[in-house]
Amino acid sequence: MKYRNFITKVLCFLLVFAAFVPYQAKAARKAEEEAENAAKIAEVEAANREVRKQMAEAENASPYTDGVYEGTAEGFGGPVSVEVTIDGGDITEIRLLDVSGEDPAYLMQVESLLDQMLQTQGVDVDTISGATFTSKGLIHAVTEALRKARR
Amino acid sequence: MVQQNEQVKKPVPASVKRKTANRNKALMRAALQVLFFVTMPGAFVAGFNGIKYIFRTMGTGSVLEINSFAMVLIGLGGFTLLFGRFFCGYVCSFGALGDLVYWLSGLFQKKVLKKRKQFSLPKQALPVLQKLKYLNLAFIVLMTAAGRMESLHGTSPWDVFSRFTALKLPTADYLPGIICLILILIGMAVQSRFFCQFLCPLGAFFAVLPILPFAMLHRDAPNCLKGCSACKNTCPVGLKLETDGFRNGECISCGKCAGVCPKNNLQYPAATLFKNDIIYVLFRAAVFFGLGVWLGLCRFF
Repeated sequence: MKYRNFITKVLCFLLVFAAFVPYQAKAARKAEEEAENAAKIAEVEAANREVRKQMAEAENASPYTDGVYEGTAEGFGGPVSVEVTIDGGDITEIRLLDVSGEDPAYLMQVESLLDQMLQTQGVDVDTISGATFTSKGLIHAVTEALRKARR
Repeated sequence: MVQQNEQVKKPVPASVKRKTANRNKALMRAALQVLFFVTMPGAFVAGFNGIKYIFRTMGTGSVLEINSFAMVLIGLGGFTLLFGRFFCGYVCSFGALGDLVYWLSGLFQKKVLKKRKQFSLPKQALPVLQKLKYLNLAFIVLMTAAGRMESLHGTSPWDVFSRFTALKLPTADYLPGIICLILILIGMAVQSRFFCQFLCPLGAFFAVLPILPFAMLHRDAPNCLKGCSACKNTCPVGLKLETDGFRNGECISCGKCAGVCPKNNLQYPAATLFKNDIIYVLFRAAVFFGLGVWLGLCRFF
């Protein structure tokens, strides 16, 4: 027939076109699933971020529990006692309780250590030359108190 | 004897009229090809990008969207359904390049080599060679769907040609494409519409479209002169016009056959709506120009 070639081409064309419909449906479903997955992944990642944030905050948190703690250590002429106050996780006060074994002259020298320890919020301070034993007594006493204060 | 004062004009023979008309039509076609070359040289690449987009998307199983490339493909395809492969015959810059190269080659052969007839490949070879473009289309489509187009980077002669139409030189990574283009140019010099017939993947797509019979050339066969093969001899894509050449997707709607027929036996049914086929050509050119601008193919607006 005269238009056989045309009719054949039209039929093929329509078949090809018809095949696009199920393809689009399938692709749309796949896109939907991928969007759902992406949403779930985003949720999990947000939760992970939250946990990591909390962990970081905990690390920065002070190792000390609030309260007042006593510490004693051997000084020059006897035991040295100190009282350390922890407030808000920080060392807020260091008080000398019993320093009877130490000479006042040396005590005056090592008093600056108390301020230093408050400033550095720890015991990483150098001993005062010439007053090594008193310095060490004080430092070790504070260390003992802080050991008690640790969580 | 009556003294004739007025000059009696010799009637112009139909054959001369036809030759003049054909020359005018050829000039008009060349002018339109130049117009589209200057305004829309990238139209064929954009159209083929639409095909590649569809298969690349289907290769990843993603949703198909009507983006600008898909629109160009739909536009070109729709235009071809209504008007036949007018795009190939009048608009496509690569086809125009093929016409130009073949014409220059003919000039050279006739004037310099003094050949009587321009060289072209044997006609029996054409139907076989014309099938190659379907293989080319299938290959590119499969590679695109498999997401392997990157391995073909630099091989496309169209990419190289596009660089030239943008008045730029291609970069060194396009060497395979440059060699391809040179080989194609040689082919264009020995066979009319060499690329279009044997290699063009977009042409392969157009050739399988169900072009409306309304838009295809029809021949009033009983009216033909016995032994005349004027249409067949002039057809640039080697259609066996005395059989079913018009229902063949190879026809690029250039209209040369209609122009050369001594009995005016070849017509587009659509053209009968217009005064003559020149108007029909201009009409289609105007429609495509508007379509091209709307699709964003024109580099000026």
